[in-house]
Amino acid sequence: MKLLTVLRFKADLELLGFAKRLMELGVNPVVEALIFGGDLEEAQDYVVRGARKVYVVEGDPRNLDWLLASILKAFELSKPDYLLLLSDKNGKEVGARVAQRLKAGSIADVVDVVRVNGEISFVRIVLSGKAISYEKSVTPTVILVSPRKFEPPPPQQQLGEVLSLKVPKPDERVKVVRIEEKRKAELKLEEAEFIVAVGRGLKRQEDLKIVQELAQLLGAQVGCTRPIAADMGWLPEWIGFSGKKVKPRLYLALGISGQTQHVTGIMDSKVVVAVNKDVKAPIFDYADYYVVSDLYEYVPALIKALKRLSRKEA
Amino acid sequence: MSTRPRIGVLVKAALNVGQLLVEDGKPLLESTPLKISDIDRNAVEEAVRIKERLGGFISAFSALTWGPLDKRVEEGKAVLREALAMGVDEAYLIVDGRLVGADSFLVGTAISTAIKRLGGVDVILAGEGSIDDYAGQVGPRVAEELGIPVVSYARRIDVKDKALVVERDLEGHIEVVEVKPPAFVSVTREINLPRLPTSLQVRMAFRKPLKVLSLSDLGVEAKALTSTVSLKGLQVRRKKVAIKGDDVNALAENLVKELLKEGVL
Repeated sequence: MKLLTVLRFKADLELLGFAKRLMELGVNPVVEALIFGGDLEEAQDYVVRGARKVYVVEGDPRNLDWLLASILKAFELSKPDYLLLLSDKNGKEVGARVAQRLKAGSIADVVDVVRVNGEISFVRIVLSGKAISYEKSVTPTVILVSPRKFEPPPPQQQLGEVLSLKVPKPDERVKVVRIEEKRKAELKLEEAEFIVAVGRGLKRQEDLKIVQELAQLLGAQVGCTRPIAADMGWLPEWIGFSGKKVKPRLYLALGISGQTQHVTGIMDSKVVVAVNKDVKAPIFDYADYYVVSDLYEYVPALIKALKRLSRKEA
Repeated sequence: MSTRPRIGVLVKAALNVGQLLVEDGKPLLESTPLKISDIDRNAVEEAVRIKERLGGFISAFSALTWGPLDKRVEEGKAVLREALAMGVDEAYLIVDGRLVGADSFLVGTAISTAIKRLGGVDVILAGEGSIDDYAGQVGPRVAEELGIPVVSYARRIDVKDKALVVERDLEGHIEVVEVKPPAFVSVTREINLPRLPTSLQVRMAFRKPLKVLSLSDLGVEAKALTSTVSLKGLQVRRKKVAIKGDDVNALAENLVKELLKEGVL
């Protein structure tokens, strides 16, 4: 089996970790990599992490037509069974386009690879977080790997080949006029590492202040349930089936009862903490840790406890 | 952009995941109704807004991928009628046994063939992903098959002279791009607030053309390349640990301790 990993940026190095996962399944893949920027020295860093051959293109991977042309060129030389790209927005777009050019399959948002009845199968979460799907494909296939699922392998003593590829910049069909960095507050809930969310337990809009203070302390984004955003208009967007789907490391639900509508949006959270004064709140069934307490008493106490902690660390 | 552009919009009859039931770990797909994929309504709305400004003609395209077909065809038609009621002029529903459970390769190939048959369009709009799968693969595949530029994840589209100026909503930044038609643009939920058709518009939608096509009508011989080996209902397994404490401060301290142990603080 041969894998061609497309490493647009340093962070994409985790794709090499996917190869390691395959080894655990008894497959010994030949791993190759496509990198950008034309730095041959940098290519060595990929060799020692498992790439037997590194194709180096002097292009900008943010130019998606150029990225597409580079991938097609490297594909032609490498002839891999699986082409691996990180499943971010540009990755999903270009992955689909590469696959259609190759008349190949593509599997998006892959979170793992396992054997089902002996066959290599790619794992995805589908149906809005309600089902787990195991998929296979006729090779070659484009595999779009979800970010932050695999660890980049550590460097080892290894030799590999580095090849410089010339891929001319294609005619500009989509012209980038300008790029606006998002302010931190504009960062999306679905990408937030920490989320503090409120539900109907919050009585007044001005009470958002204490929630925001807690969020700031945690470096968290503030989210809410549908009634708080759609009915009350206190926050711009809500988390849930009809709203944002989030996957933070910590989801702290304050005064949220736990309607299905809401909890389908938080399935992918690593740790869920629920605070509700109602001991029978359904949210407790979806929580790793729950606290029976009124958010108006609990939040100030939690702020105090976190401040004590940060003083200790300092 | 030319006046009176021809606009194509991709619409999926998606599984209404909000009503999906899971029994003994198995999702009951066949008894779950279909509905228009939410973000495709944003695509339809944007198409109608462009038409309101420049004139033109909107064709909607849909491939029915959920079976059983005998039951689903009417649901697929109802989804397209919703788009017709919002302001789409004509609709094409591709129905074929080979499309049931089909992958993005076959669906993309089928839809692009239907668009080619129509003589192509100036702009194709679609949602960034569907509510039941969210892979975001079909739209860019259609564009690639037609050889037109792709602009994905648009949160705003402006028509300027002969070009579209599009704000792409990416992970850490907004990328503003300019593209000349013909082009494909996928939109996000934030781009607009889809209109609710009036009951008169809903009735009038029945008079608009809605054609059902098969893959052999289109001359598509391709087969799906990826397939689902197994599908299981996902049970959330949470620890459900109650934080205990004598007073509210102890409750707070004890939670902090657990979170430190979890490594999330």
